[in-house]
Parts: sequence; structure tokens; C-alpha cells
Amino acid sequence: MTALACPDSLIARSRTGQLSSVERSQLHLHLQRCEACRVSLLVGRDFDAALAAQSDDTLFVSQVVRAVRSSSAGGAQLSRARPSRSRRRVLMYGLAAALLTSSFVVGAASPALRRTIGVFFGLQSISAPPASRGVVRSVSKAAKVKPLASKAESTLSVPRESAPSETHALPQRAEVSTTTESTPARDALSVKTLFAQANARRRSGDLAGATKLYQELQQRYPQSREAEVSRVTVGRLLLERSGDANLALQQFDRALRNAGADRAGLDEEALFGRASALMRLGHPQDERRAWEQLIQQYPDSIYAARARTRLAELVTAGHGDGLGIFPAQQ
Amino acid sequence: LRDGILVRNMALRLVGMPAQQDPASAVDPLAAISIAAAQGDPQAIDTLLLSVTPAMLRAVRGVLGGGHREIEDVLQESAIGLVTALKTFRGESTVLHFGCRIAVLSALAARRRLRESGKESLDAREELPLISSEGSPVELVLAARRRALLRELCDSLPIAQSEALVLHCMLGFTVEEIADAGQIPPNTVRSRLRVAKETLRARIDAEPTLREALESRP
Repeated sequence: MTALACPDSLIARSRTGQLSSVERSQLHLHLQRCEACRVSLLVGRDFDAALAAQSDDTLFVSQVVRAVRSSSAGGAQLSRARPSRSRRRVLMYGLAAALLTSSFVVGAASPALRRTIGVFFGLQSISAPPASRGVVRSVSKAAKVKPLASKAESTLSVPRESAPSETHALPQRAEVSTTTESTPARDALSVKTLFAQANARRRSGDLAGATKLYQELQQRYPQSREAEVSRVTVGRLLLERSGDANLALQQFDRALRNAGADRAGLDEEALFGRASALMRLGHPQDERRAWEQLIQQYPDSIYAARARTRLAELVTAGHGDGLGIFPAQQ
Repeated sequence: LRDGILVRNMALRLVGMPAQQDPASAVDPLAAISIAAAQGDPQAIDTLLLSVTPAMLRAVRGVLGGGHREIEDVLQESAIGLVTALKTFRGESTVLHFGCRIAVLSALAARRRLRESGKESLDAREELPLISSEGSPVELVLAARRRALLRELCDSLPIAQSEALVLHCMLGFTVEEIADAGQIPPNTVRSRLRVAKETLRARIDAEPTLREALESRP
């Protein structure tokens, strides 16, 4: 099959479920022979999942529109005057009209058209989790661009396993906590069921519930593959969503402690997470060693460039020992 | 409407239908308002931006990463670029595709600018979407790694290839939509996509974990 024969448009349309049965067959046949197109479709679906609209996007967009209006480009055509009540009303009417128009178009369209419009605007997954609906967030610049912080996220916490060590050497395995809720029903759960339940909670947006189940999984089945994998996931969620770098560090340390464990190739993520957690905690020497370890073990990692950049920053700040075997390259 | 037939066919392609199959929905719903906005009508500009900016936000997030600190600035820059460019917009594509292309080019330029100035933040890392169709944490992390890999690829590919890859792979544009938005021949788009996709495949091939995940897919 020649490269020009790649059905790129079929691939694009397949992501919105618009293919006829004949087109699906054509695409299927092509994908069996063309790895570049398989990769393209796979990565495309990765982005479809990640770029769904967030429930605070409307607020974010209205702020940007206001900023554009007051900018030189917008101001050349719009009044530079401070928005009056009528102006604000116009903005609200505009927003309402846009939403109404979108709703009408989506509602009146055929199922295929609805899917297309929905996906284009990222509306397919717009239904926010129950815990996050109606949450109005602060509009600080940093907060605006972050994913929705739901009530569940803001209250995310997990039991502290142990006090953080000063030097952040990999800690010894903690004893199984006796404080975890243990009901007969829970006892009957297999590791896979527990893992699936935790994943389902995470996907629904119940981060606190998911983390609790992941922790329970780690305590009940500490040697299982699912437990090994969950430590990296919980660590990243803790680091990125709740900002608890200390607890996140514990997760990454535990994930890395068992060298022979099957973590489905997630060691890079664990090392990257550990270094990031140490950076957040302000332990430059440990952080530097963590970045160096990442580069040493995974020199071609997608995180290697960032590791080198950060190492250069640490050296500039006087935290390098001058003997680093992985000098900054950027 | 300017170039009504052309605009209608663009809209039909957007919804995956052959041209002229369904005349009732054959109009870019934003075409008329874009004309008014180009003439400086403030309400039209407001409505246009409120309609198009969500899709542009998606494009900027795709290129920069969900947690990037520059998203707001780049989106604002893109929206200003759209308002400015409306004066020369001739309806070659839908307004939505036109705006998304501006957003993608702005975001790609911002990425390269940040990288060259050494100001790229570690906080620009990929975030894990909580609400996801991914089946397991492993797939979640691997998907995040693939997205990060594509973004990094955009920094090293020629800008024209990066643009085609982003519009197609991240945003799901068809070849025709990319061609219309950029006013280039479809075969040029196919050629750019072919090279960019092959580079992406080679990068994923070089990562054993990603390679394994690809092979395990049906």
C-alpha cells in the first residue's frame, strides 16, 4: 500500500463514529497493513479522551473574551470603555445566544451530526462528575487553567503511612494499616475487582474514593501487579491534583522499592514523579540525584529533556556538586 | 453569505456528509456573523468569540498540555489573531476551522519560543485526565506518555508538518479540512501527514513500553 493511499480522512471521521459499514471495513483492512495509521488513530483517541471540555471552560472563555475586548486588537473595533451594565448584558446575551444556538444545532441535528459537533467542542464527556457540578472556582490565573477542582479533590487525603524521612532514601515497606475499613463484602473482593472499582471511581471523578480503594488494594495485596501499578497512579494523582507532594513521594518510593516488580513499564513515571515531588518539597540535593537517576536509567525518556533542564537550574542555583555524570544539555 | 456554496460544502464535510447531500444544514452557522464581526460589529465579535473560543481552547490545551501556565495568554493571543484575521477571511473554510488553525499555530509558536528561551516549565507536564475512557491506570499513563511524545515531536518537526499532525491527530481534522483551512492542495497535506505520521511511528517504536502497548491492541 502506498503512503498516499492512507485514508486519513476516514481515520479522522472514525473518531467521531461517522463511518458507514463499508468505510469501516475499508479502514480496518488498511489498519491491518499500515502501522503509521494505527499509531495515528491510537494517539488521536488519546487526545479525544484528554481534551474533553471542562465544566469551568465557559467561565474561562468569557474571561478571555473580555480580555480580548479590552486589548488593542479588540479595542480597535470595540469600545475601550469600561464594560457598562448594558455591555455586560450584551456579553451575557451573546453567551446565552451561543449556548442556545449550540444546543439547538446539536439537538436538532442527526445523531451523526450531534456526535460530530459534540466531539468538536469536546462535549461528549462534558458531563461533570456529581461532585464537581456547580462548583464555582476562583479565577486566579493559575487556577483557571487547571482541570476542575472538585469537592472530592479538595478533600483528597490518604492515611499517612509514616513520617517522611529527612534524606528521602527509599523507605522500608510500611506495615499494613489496621485502620482501613474492612467489611465482609470488601473482604470478598478479589484484587482485580478492587482494582476495577478503583478505576471506575477515578473515571467518574471521585478521586478521593478512588484513592482510598487503591490504598486498600495496596494494603491487601501488596505484591500484586495491580498494587504496583496503582502506586504510580496514586502518586501522580496526589502530586497533580491534591498537591500533597509528601504523600505522593511515599507512593513513588514504594513503587520503586521492589526492583523486580511488574509495573508494566511505569518505572519512568515513578522516577519522574519522585523527582517532581522532591522539587515541590524543596529538597534540591535529593531532587538532583533523582533526576540523575532518571537520566541514567532512561537516557532516551521523554522526560529526559526536562530532567536535564531542571538539573541545569539546580546547578545554576548552586545545588550541583560539579561531579554530575549527566551534565545539562539544554 | 460569501461564497455560499463553498462554505456549505465545508460545513457538510465537517459533519462527514458528501457535499450537497443535505442542503438544510449546508451552511456554516458562523459565516454570517463572521462578516458582521469583520466589519467591527461589537456584538457580532462577542458572539463569534464565545462560539469559537471553546474549540480554540481545546486546540491550545492539546498543543501545550492541559496544565500549562501559558494557556490563557496563548488563547488570548489566538482570539486577538482571529479578530484581526477576519478582515482577510474569505470563507475558504468554516470559521471554526479557521480559528482552530490560528490557535494551533499560536500554540506551536509559543512552545518553540518557550523552549528556545529556556523558560519551559516542568509544570507543563502531561496531566492525567480524571474522566477518561481509558480502562486502567497503565493505559492512562501510557496515553499521557504518547500525548507528551507527540507534543515533543512538534518541537522538532518542520512547522508545516507539525501543523498538519496537530490538526489531524490532536483535533481530528480531515485532509480536506486541513487543506481548506491552510489554503493548500490536499495532496500537500497528505504528503506532510505521511512524513509526520511516519516520524511519530518511529518515535513510538523506539519506546519499548509504548511499542508493546501498540502491539497488544487489537
